[in-house]
Amino acid sequence: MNADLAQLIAALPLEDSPEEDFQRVIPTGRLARLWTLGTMQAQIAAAYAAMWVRSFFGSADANAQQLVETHMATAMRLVGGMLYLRGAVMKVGQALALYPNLVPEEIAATLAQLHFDAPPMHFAMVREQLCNELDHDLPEVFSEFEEQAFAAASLGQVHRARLRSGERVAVKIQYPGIGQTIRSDLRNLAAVLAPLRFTRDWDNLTAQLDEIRDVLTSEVDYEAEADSLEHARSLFTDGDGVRVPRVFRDVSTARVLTMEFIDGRHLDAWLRRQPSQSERDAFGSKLYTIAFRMYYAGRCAYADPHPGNYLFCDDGRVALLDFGCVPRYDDAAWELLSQMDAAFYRDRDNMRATLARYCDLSQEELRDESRMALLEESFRWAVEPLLHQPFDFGNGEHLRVGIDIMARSIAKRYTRAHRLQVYLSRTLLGLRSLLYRMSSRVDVRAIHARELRASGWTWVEEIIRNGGEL
Amino acid sequence: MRVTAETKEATRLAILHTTRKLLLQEGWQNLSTREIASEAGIANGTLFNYFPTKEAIVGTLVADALADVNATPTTGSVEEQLFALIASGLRRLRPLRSFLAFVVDSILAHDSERIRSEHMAAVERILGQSLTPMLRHLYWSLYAGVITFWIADTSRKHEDTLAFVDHSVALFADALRRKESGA
Repeated sequence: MNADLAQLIAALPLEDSPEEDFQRVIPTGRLARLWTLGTMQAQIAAAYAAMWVRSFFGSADANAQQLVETHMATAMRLVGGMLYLRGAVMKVGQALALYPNLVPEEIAATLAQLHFDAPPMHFAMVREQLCNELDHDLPEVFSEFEEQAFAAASLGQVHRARLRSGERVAVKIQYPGIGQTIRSDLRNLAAVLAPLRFTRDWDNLTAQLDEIRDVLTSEVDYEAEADSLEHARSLFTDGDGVRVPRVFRDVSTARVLTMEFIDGRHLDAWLRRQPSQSERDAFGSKLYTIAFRMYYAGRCAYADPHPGNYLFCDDGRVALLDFGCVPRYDDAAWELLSQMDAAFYRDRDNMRATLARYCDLSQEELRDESRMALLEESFRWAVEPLLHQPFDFGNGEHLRVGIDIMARSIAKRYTRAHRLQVYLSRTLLGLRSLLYRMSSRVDVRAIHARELRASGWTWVEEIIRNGGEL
Repeated sequence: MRVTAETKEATRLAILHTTRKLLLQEGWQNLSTREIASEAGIANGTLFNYFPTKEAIVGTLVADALADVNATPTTGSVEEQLFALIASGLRRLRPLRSFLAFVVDSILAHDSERIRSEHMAAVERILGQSLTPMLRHLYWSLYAGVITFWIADTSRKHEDTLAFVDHSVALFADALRRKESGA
């Protein structure tokens, strides 16, 4: 990606002084909150939109480029006016913070903070929303309820509380009506971008908007998240050192999710304690176990490996916090994924046919040599950690190559792909940037061999039956 | 025969109670003042000694429903207190919501000075100051907008109304601060 986010942000129209805003961690008053939304977050959203559009037109001629710039200016003004993009902007912030090499470091750090320090709904609003959703006044349900949120969630915020039955819980509350409003914001954005519809990448652009909308739609529904939580919870046993919070269904709705409260540190706080290499390795292995367990035994992806979604507990366990983005694979997808893994084990030198199916390529695309070469490169990158025991993620070279491959795919507009691949590449890159920050060494091969057994795939069963090695 | 103050109050309450009951049963359009009087056991003419119109009866029902809320102390920032005042008012009005659509215009705009003055008194108590006519007007427009939005709100559990209140309050607080800083 060529666009420089810092330059883009600098080029945006400003109100008041954004520098000060970058310093500010928790805006308290309502005015500050609106102001924040109107300036910094909206600017970042706009800058992201700009970067996003520019990356599609990186090779366009000057006229086309100018057209884009003009409409982008309009789009940015519009985005600036979208108060409700709060949720979406936080998502974007998380995504950007995951790829530290794409943006200047200090911005990445600010964005990483956003996840936890987003401006709160005041307590009167929280109480009203809870009362609406649970059909009971607060004291009838909770014996204690902290008025101040302790964390921001992508579409709301989280409060500590205690149920009348005594359990400590984390209550995630959604800002009322936010899902619907973000959807209409996105429609507005698409409308503003409409003059671009005759350009060749229009389909791609709208596909991206659609995808953002899909992700938001799934995250808006806390009942679906509760289902994912319970599914994931069933996959782990005490020996795994992984905690998935219990859901309290009778105190949860589509807009309120009440979960067991788990004590622990987020990544930054954990890193500040300067954990030993063996701690780094142990936690890193758990993150990989989580990813593979959910994939092979759970037929789903923990597709949003943002640092804020993990807690590092003092007893060495890892807790998973956010299940808003956990796509499940249907039978057809599962079969395709089986072929991918099988190809790695059996036919590594002749990957093209499998990759083409996996990415849903047309005949014409298949004949595009540079495209196929890049695909192969991205496959080799994906499996590289399986070939070294253990693999050292602390060496930034591996992550740099992965980001480079993704950037080239975006620049060449090869990102249109089977949805599976979109989720997988995002998950892989996200997980590996985490492990890079943790400087973990992980025996990925051993974990993979162990977890693959749960896949139920015929070829895996065969290898096991014949006493072969996974 | 002299009508004592107590009898008067009892009659007034009987009219209110009856109207509320009949409105919930029959809806706004089907209900006549004659029917209210007959159900309350008073002469039609007597009813008009208490309330000049059907709208005025509902106006009083609304004002009574909000009286507690206006008197309840709130805490937090100005925005939070105004939000609490408005949102808990809406909660109180919920049983009346189905027929408020027919009277909202008349009771907010013309008939019920009591609703307005009591609510504005609560607002000014929260703000700790009396408002200029311009700000009073702005506030009342936003408040009337909230009520109107709520009556027509078809979102799940009226969640959009909460967001609407949040934004309206923010808009007002913003105007108030601009005024204070002389901008």
